[in-house]
Amino acid sequence: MQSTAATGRLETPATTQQRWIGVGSSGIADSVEAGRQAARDALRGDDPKLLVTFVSPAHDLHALLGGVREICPDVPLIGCSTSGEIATSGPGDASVVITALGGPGFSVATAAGRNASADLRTAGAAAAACAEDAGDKAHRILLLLTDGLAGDQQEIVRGAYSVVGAAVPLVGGCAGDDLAMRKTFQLFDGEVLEDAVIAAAISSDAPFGIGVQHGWRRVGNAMLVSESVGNRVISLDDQPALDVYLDRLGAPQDVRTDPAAFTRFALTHPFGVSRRSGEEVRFIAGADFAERSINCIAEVPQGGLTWIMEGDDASVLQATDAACTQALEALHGEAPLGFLAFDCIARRGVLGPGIESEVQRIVTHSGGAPVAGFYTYGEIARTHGMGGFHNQTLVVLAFS
Amino acid sequence: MPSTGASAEGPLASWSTHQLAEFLVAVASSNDESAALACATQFAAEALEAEVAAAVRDNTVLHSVGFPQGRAPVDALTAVARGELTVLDYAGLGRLLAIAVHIDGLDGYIVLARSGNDHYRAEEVGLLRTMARALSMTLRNLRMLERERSLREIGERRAKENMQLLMLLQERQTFLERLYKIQMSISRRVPLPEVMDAIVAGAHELLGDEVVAIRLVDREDPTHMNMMSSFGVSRAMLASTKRSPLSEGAGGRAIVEDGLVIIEDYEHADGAMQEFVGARLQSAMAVPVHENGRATGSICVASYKKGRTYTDTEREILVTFAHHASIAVNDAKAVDEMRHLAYHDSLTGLPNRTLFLEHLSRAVANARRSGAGLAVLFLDLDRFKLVNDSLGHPIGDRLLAAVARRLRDSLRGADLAARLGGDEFAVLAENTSVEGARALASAVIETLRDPFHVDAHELAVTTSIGLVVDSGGTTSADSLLRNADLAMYRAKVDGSGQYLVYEPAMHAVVADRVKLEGNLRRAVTSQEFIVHYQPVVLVESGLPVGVEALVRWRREDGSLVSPGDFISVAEEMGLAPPIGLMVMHESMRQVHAWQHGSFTGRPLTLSINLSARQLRQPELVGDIVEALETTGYNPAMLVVEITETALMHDTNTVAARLRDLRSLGIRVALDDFGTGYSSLSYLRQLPLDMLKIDKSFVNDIAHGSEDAAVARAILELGRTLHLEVVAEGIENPLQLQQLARMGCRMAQGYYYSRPLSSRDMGAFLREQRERAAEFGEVAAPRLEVLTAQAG
Repeated sequence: MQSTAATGRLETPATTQQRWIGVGSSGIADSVEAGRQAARDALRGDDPKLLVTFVSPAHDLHALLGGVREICPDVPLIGCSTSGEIATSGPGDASVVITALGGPGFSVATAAGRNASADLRTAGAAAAACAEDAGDKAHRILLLLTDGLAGDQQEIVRGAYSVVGAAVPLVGGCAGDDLAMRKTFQLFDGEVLEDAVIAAAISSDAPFGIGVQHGWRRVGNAMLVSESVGNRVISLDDQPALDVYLDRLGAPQDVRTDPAAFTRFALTHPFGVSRRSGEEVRFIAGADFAERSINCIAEVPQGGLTWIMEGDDASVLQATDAACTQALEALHGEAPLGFLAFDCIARRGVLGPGIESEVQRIVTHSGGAPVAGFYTYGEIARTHGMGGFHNQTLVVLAFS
Repeated sequence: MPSTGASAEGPLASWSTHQLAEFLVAVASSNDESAALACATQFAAEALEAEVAAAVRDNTVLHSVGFPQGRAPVDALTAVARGELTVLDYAGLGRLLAIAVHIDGLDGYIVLARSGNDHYRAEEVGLLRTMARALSMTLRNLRMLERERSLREIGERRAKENMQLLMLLQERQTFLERLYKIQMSISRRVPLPEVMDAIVAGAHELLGDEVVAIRLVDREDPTHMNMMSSFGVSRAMLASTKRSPLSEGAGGRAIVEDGLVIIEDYEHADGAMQEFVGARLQSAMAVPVHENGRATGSICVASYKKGRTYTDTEREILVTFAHHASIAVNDAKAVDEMRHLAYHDSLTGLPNRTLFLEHLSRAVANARRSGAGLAVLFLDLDRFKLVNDSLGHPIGDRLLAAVARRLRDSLRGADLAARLGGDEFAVLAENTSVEGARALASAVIETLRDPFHVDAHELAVTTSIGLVVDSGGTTSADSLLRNADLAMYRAKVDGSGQYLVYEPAMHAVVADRVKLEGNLRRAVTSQEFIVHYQPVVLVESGLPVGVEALVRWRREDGSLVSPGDFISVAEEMGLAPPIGLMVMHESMRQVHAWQHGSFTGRPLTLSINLSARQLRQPELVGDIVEALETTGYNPAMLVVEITETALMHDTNTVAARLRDLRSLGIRVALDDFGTGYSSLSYLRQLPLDMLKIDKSFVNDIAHGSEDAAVARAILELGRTLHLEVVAEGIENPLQLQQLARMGCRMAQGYYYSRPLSSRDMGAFLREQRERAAEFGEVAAPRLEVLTAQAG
């Protein structure tokens, strides 16, 4: 659904003296103009500290950034390509959604870790290095946007964690490329990067709230991951993983032969790796039909237990509610200034056109505060423990 | 909060089990201790959903997760490890619930701390502990691997050093292999020139110098040396440098100085060989080669490369090669000597049997080609054994050496003398005729007849020679030598100091002789010798007056062998004495028995034959006396018959013996009288009693021949000398008539009786006695009545 800059004006400006959040979006095809428009719309206040830009890979990203830079030449910018954009007005494609935050109540520093695939941990750590420069306000988060195709995203998280430590929550998502699974982009100031980790360390006088929910449930019995190497699941219960998966789900013929069909199918049938509290959902990116193995975008540890998960509209929307609620709870009654939503492309797959209502729900939860986000290949949210990478999940970051 | 869903919980669903499984897989992939520790710490924290984790040991944080920028609170962590704390304060998070687990293999702890109020469940603690144990094992394993790896690295470093050593050793190895090959060729008696070539090649390969040469001093002209083997010397150079004076070059100097010589500026060196200076030789090194400790040659290496200097190692190498060359040279000489020894008799220096046969074979082949004649003489020294036994072997050896010398000197240059062994020699004369060979044999006999002077002794040596002549090479060497041997043997039998030419019949004779000898030997022990008797009768009455004892050999098959066929052989074999003794005893016993057994009316005389050999025996008289005593026979009734020829040798000894016998009362008869060489004078000297006319004069006596005249003469002689005369070989009455008319009183022959066995003779005697009794004791001869008894 297309959003226009005009629609953005329907939002209630959310400002305080200290901090403000603004979201602008544009659906026009001209990348430069779209960039200009979205940026203009997002700037709701003075002293912008950060621009978070979610852009469809349909755009000419350089051109678009050019347009944005015209409007806000010196504001630190982070962003990435998407598999669909979320704005207060609703979900969209081939559009750009820019979130701006500013005011003296925020302190921001950004950094990029490059060549992530060469050393994921180091890239994560490099990006997280900006945390030191984010000031020492009471509440801090590290916002991460990664190239989801670079490798084991958990390693990136570990890298970032090793720098910021347990006191700084991590939140963010993996860039998308409209389900092509070929190449995603990360934006850093005026640069369009690939294979990168971008981070913005934000410290604030007011608390942040993070909600993490997925809405998937187990299907059938647990399976032993009898053989896996990194992101590749080779065998389940000592049988070829792909065969086990397809048979368990009674997958239709085209799913068994067409890689695109498989990816679409697998989108809504992820793995759920057994963890201390619940399951860690694992996004299935594709399969190797020759090898009969399944590719995820994060590690499925050998020796562990996994379920096949499924979901439906109800469970997904239920999770949406729960995530928003969770995020709001952390604000301890403060009204949110805005939401950033990192919504797994799989959930979009389940909802289909229902994503409209999902965004509406989020907006409802935000109490009209600006909502921005995108459909991701993976979500990052580390609020406790060390694990912070999620799949098929909705991560909601609430600003206050 | 985590959504719930239907789940079938089974034993497989135990969370901690699978966490452990994941843990093991994760840790197993660690390459070293610190990686394993980091992995384990991280994993434990993530599994238990702790925010922070650390590995601590001895108040040190080895690894930590979750503390910003490594600011881990070591004291607090250590306190948790020691069990003194259960909470950790974390700035910005508040209090974390802490837990620690001991890692044996680390001798330390892993500490975890997490936010929230969830205390660590038993299952979680259990998981931690199991992880700890697994980690310990892993750490220990990794430590071991690490140790092995570092050992391996040391090993690899060493291997590299060894490689370099190996290269050095390879060089050495090549050197040693070369030497070994050379050594082997020396051992295998490869011809000297080949060994020299191998040494030269080896020196070139190992030292790299372009020119190598081995020279040996010229035996004829010790002021010069000759190149035996060389490398890198062009044909042109070879022509002018193959023979060079010892004064020139490094090679020459090495011999003269008997030491290592190095020239590193050849052009300006003293005594440099001009040819090589011209060729721009730069440097040379030479080492002497020795034979029997004396420098008799040298090995020299030389190079055209500028700046070529010789290292100690290279000098050593050349010295080693020279040493091998010396061994080869000495060995070649030794081989020659050995070869000489193998073919020559060490005592006399003459060729031995092997070499002689070789030469003979070659001569036969030559003769086959040319059709020429060749002669082989086989020499035996008569009675050499006597010299050895009486004077000892050293004298005997010297005699042999002297004989050999004289023998060799007596031959033509082309003739070959050899010592076959013992006292046997052989001579090969090629291109000679029968006459020439005979002359040669005679000459040899003559030259060896002259006495030899050995020490203070004058030794006379005679030789028996067997001679075989062959033309056209029709007989093999072995056969020739064998035949010559055979001829020599015959010569010896016939008498010493003569030669005999081989005849094929000799083979048969020898074979027969050998057979006869064997039979005779057996006969003695098997008592196959018996005595037959032939009567000696009075012509007048035809009545026996005596018997002649004749030895017969009755073979196993019953056949009789007459003495002529075996007596002489038996005598040569030394078997005569036992036979003689047997005859004596037996005949005396028998006749004694007849005399006393009324076989005869009057006493009988017994005639026994004595051979020349027997006569010479000192024991003869004693034996006869013993026999007389044993048998009790009356010596006055005993006649010993001896032949004329027996008297020829050692006449004095024989005469003395006869006198001894005579003194016993024994009479002596001369047998086969008229056939020997006796002179009338010694007839008078010898103590004789009887003459027996040889049958050859009796044969034609009836036909009025000269024989009759001789018979008559003998009878007359007998009358004159007062000797009894007996005519032998009477075969018919006519002979008897004549002899009777001549006045012969006694006779013997087939007409009366053949020689009879004792049994038959006993019967004959009894018959005659009866006849005598019939006609009275002395009766006129009744010729018509007398009949020859068939014997």
